[in-house]
Amino acid sequence: MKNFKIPLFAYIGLLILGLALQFGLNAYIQILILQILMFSIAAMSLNLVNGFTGQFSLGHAGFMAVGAYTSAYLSQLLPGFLETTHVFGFFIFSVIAGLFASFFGYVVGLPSLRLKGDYLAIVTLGFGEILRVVLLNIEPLGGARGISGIVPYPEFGFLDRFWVSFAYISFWFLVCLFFLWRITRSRYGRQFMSVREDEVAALSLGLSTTKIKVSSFVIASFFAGVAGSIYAHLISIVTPTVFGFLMSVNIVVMVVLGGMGSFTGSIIAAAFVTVMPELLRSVQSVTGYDLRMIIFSLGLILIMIFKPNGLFGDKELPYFLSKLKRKKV
Amino acid sequence: MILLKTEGLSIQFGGLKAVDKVSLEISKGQLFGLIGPNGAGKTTLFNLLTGVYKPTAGKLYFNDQDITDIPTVSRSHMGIRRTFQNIRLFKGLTVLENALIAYDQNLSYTLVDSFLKSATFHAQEKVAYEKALSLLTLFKLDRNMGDKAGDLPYGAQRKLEIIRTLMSDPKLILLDEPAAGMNHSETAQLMSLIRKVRDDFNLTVLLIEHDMKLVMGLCEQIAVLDHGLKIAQGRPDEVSKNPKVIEAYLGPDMESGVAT
Repeated sequence: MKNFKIPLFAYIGLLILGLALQFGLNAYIQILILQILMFSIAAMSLNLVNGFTGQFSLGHAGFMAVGAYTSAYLSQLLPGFLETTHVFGFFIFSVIAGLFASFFGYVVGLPSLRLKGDYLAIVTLGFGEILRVVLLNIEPLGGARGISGIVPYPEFGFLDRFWVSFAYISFWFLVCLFFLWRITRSRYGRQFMSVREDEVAALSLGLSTTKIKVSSFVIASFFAGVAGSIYAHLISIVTPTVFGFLMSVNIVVMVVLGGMGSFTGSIIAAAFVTVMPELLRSVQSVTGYDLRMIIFSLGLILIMIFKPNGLFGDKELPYFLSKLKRKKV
Repeated sequence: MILLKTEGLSIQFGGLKAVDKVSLEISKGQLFGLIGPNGAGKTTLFNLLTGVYKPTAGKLYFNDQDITDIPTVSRSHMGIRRTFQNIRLFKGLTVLENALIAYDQNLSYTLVDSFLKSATFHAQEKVAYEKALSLLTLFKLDRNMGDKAGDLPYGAQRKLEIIRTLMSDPKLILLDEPAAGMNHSETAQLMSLIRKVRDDFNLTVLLIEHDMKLVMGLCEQIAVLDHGLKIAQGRPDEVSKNPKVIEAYLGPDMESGVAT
């Protein structure tokens, strides 16, 4: 337990924060916050592949789709299961969704990770599109209609649905953050980065680069699956089109914008990318035109010009905090 | 005792015989030099020894075991480590991380251990760190431990590559022009370091070098390659007097031997 002091305190802090948010905010902002947490999980996990291992994957939404459909299908298949088991049922579903997604990650990753750069991007992009078309045509999974009426997170006495969702999602958020944080600061992180830096040298040092790349992919797919499962119960409806190319690109934007190799950067960028288009709605009421996407992409371009390595580069938030502290002294 | 043996090792790229029926025997603990003019096939031979290329003919034995068909990764695990002619460090990582990566095969803790920060994790990481620290200190790079490897001066980068080969107690290290880009005093330092490392770690060293002073002063046995063929082998003084070697280096019409 000693090693989990920080995540434990962080979780307790988040639970209390959730209470404040439950009473202090309207439903619109609440759902935005939950989405930020969900996309943070997706972005952090993709950062492991794109940032740490240096493999450019463009199919992360595909793995989210696998997770979302797994969770949705399971809750359809076992009606009443989630009601009786409460949060544990959701937890079990998320784990199964994650495992199923990582199985997909393994199957997709094993052949395609032999490719490099653009080629890998194209293959992973292809995976996402193939999955979308396949889902469109599987009738038991609802075809184009998708699966709707997925069991949402329950209420809990005076704690409303938002608080329970918030507690549940921030649990996975912290698991994802601390898992990735710690493994990247161990031999596994060094393996991932050695593949990014120089594959030939890594091979000559006895590191099996294929195995390393695939395991990075599998871990990332697991958390993408979990994020998908969270999505399913949060939004209550999954359709093949949501998990399309656009969502994959959005997640990549979060990774690049936050900084390749910075998990806290991914979180900040996930918040930015989720909130900005909503904030810019107010611009529309002023100008009369829907300029949201133009302003948003302009903002992204400007950030990439002035901060080509992303907001945080490969540094994490604590690094900037300690720098700030030193400046004050 | 013979550690590494090649029998008629050859590789052909199209019509070019880059390495042609080379047979070598390297004894345990030997400092073995490999010289030859540019394009003689020295680095190609290294690539054959480490498994980057597959030979078109011939056999390769390591510790009396046939390793001709064994892949690079497994050869590294067996104790064959190399450096690269055009330095291949993990440039964006720190000096310490570069060293630690090379120790990876000696670590056995799992993903769960690193997530839980278990006792195994801490114990093994500590051993790895101490190993890295002792080698970095030996090569006087301990002060640069936190620097990015790509920011080191050229000579230091070469040293770091040698450290990487030494991290997991190899049996044979292959050094591809370790002194390239170093000045005289650095080269002299490197010579004594290589000798010291060989003695301290019970290593066998095979090195490619253009700096004749280093090769002649350091190596106990030298093989000379020219156009993929082994044209001479012997002690440094024998090799430097060998007319074939002089011819390869200075051209066919030169009479007097000034191969050094």
